Amino acid sequence: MGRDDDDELRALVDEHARAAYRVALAIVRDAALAEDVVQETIVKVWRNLDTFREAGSQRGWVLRIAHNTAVSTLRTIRDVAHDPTTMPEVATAIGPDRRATGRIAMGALDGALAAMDPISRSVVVLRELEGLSYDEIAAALELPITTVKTRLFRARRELAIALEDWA
Amino acid sequence: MKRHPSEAELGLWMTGGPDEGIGTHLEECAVCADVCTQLTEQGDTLPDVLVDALTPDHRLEDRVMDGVSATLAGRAATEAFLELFGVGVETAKVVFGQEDQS
Repeated sequence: MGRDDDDELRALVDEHARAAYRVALAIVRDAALAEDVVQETIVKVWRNLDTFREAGSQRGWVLRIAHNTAVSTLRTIRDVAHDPTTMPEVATAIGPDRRATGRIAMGALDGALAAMDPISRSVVVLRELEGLSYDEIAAALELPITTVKTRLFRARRELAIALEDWA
Repeated sequence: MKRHPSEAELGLWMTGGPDEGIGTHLEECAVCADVCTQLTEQGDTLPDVLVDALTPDHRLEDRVMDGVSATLAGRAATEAFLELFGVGVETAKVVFGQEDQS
């Protein structure tokens, strides 16, 4: 790759890696796996950048690839090991002062996320963390808008129950 | 649930209150779904712990950049090898084909 390509790739990573990571981590629930998903997502995006012709935003396109890659990764893992309790503990970026509280909360959060299907996890992240509109989420995940809304209501409810001590 | 749940019931359901058929009702009732949408917009954002839990550390971009660069370089090398291999095969076909003919 030339210097221009390097700069363009770096710009792509800087713009999308964090959002892709949040979507991936919500689905695969493992920090190292989520980073692998992000790398694979960026590689796919990079190699198909010239063919991007979608009516929606590039962000939505990237996050859809991240979602699909994460779901595919999760399926592969489940094929290899059916027992979800063998999955590694979720790594977090919680600071030292909040680590103790965070660990307890992470248990509840991880349980709540585990109880949701991958699509619901993505809906929560895309809406609550990435701020996408219902239309954008529906386009990114290729779902009817009513399904997006229903999944979001259910997901919020499940998280509220799991995290009521921290809400 | 045969009737539309009240806004209070919907709000309670969304924050972990009793289900009593509301979840199923919402899948079929656009009116109540819209009420839930409005309640969602009015509601607090998700707990900080969720945001924290899904936030990567500050070196994520560097690690991703390194990994992607290595992957792309590896693929480029593989493609170059396969191209050379393909050329080699074609050359062998020509050479051995010529020998067979001689």
